[in-house]
Amino acid sequence: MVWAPIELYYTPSSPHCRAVLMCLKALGLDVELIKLDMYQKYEHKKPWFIKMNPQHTVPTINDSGYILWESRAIMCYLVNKYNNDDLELQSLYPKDPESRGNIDKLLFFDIGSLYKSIVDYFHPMLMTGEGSDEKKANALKTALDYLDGFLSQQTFVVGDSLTIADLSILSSITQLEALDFKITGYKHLSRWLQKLKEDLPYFDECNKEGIDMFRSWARSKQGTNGNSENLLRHKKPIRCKTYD
Amino acid sequence: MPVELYGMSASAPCRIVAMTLEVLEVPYEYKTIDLMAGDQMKPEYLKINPQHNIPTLVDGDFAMNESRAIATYLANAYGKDSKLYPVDPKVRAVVDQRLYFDMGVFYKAIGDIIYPKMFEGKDPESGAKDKLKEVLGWVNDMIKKSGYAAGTDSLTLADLAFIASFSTLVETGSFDVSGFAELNAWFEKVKGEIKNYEKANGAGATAMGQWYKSKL
Ligand SMILES: N[C@@H](CCC(=O)N[C@@H](CS)C(=O)NCC(=O)O)C(=O)O
Ligand SMILES: N[C@@H](CCC(=O)N[C@@H](CS)C(=O)NCC(=O)O)C(=O)O
Repeated sequence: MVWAPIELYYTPSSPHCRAVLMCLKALGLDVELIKLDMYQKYEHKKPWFIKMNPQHTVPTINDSGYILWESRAIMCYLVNKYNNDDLELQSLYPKDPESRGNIDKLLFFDIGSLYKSIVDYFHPMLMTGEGSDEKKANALKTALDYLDGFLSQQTFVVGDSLTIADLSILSSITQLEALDFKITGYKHLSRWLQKLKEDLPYFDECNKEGIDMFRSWARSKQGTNGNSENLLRHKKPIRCKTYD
Repeated sequence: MPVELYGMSASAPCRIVAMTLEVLEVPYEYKTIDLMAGDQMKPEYLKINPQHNIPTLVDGDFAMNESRAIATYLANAYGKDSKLYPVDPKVRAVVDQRLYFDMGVFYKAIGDIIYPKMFEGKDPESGAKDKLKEVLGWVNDMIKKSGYAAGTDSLTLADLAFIASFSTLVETGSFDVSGFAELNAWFEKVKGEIKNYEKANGAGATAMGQWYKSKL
């Protein structure tokens, strides 16, 4: 059977897009990348894109006419649909309810706790030059502690093989790194991060450009809104939402 | 042994799980965790959920938290042929999309309206009302297609998540939802399709609404 490549509407600096891209690579799928200019041309707000995805977010995929958005739902879909009954591919999102439960749990942890706490903490500092908020810093640290605890007992975030939960969380953690936030204090998390960077053959291809772009954007913001004394030792950043 | 649900009926995420258990007809025991009394910080509870939030599900020697993930777990484990979480990847993915949307956008937009009053005695931030209005419009459009949240011809987990969120908003009376015709029609219809709706969701949503009103 011949498949048309899956179209991925994306912007490189978005961690959610990078996670989906890694998932496509992990499955060995062909992808056609469609980069949106979201910052000058606001292409995601154009009628043709809103018609596809009324929430105008990236990543969005078009799989031969089937449109889907929300990065984590996309990753689940890709493995469900394209695992070819190959055990290695299936292990990215295994079928048994308990493994799947643990993976889904961490995907929701990522969207609602980890990534959210990164945005909540860095966004005001980056966008308006506000000082560091201790409560928000603690929420971020709590999420990292929790993750580090998981990784103290196993190689990957769920069990001993790579899953889509690793890919999702990896993109959040690399975003955090690009904000010059040091995670070396989290021993197991650092070990995991290093391992994934070295072991995933597609890591650089999927991430390097976007992380570099995001880092320089974040540093330039610090220059503009600089308030560095209040910033602990972090530079600042994020929230894709507010590029518009 | 029945599964155990640790939670509190006022909590919207706990209500998603309770409704899922009811619809799947999985016998369960409700163990109340009183957040005001600090039950979630007790060592026994931290053992099953170090993140110390509610809900937590315990099924034999398996324990997990995160309400929407618990709902998918229950459907995978106990609802093999259930239409609640369809197996066709394309249909399932729309349900998943709605669950992430519920967490990151819908429930968040509702929380941004009601939580400042409840927990800080403050008014919502400017812009929160307009955002919620936009989001309710999206939800209304999602439902318009088939009368269910994921465009299916029957109830799915997406409806359960949305109803936990929406009923909370309605009960607080904090926002005029009358302009969203399909959404309101869906709400009335779907309530009737959920077994033991009052016990699993209605009563808790009402309690949450009263709590909100007591802070006005
Ligand atoms: N939860 C969504 C978040 C998507 C999201 O917020 N994407 C940002 C880029 S990182 C975006 O498209 N923002 C533009 C907008 O919301 O208008 C996902 O994981 O896909
Ligand atoms: N994303 C979680 C959120 C759970 C949550 O925030 N629960 C609140 C009550 S509604 C809680 O337990 N708060 C107390 C705490 O975190 O210690 C879910 O959907 O299960």
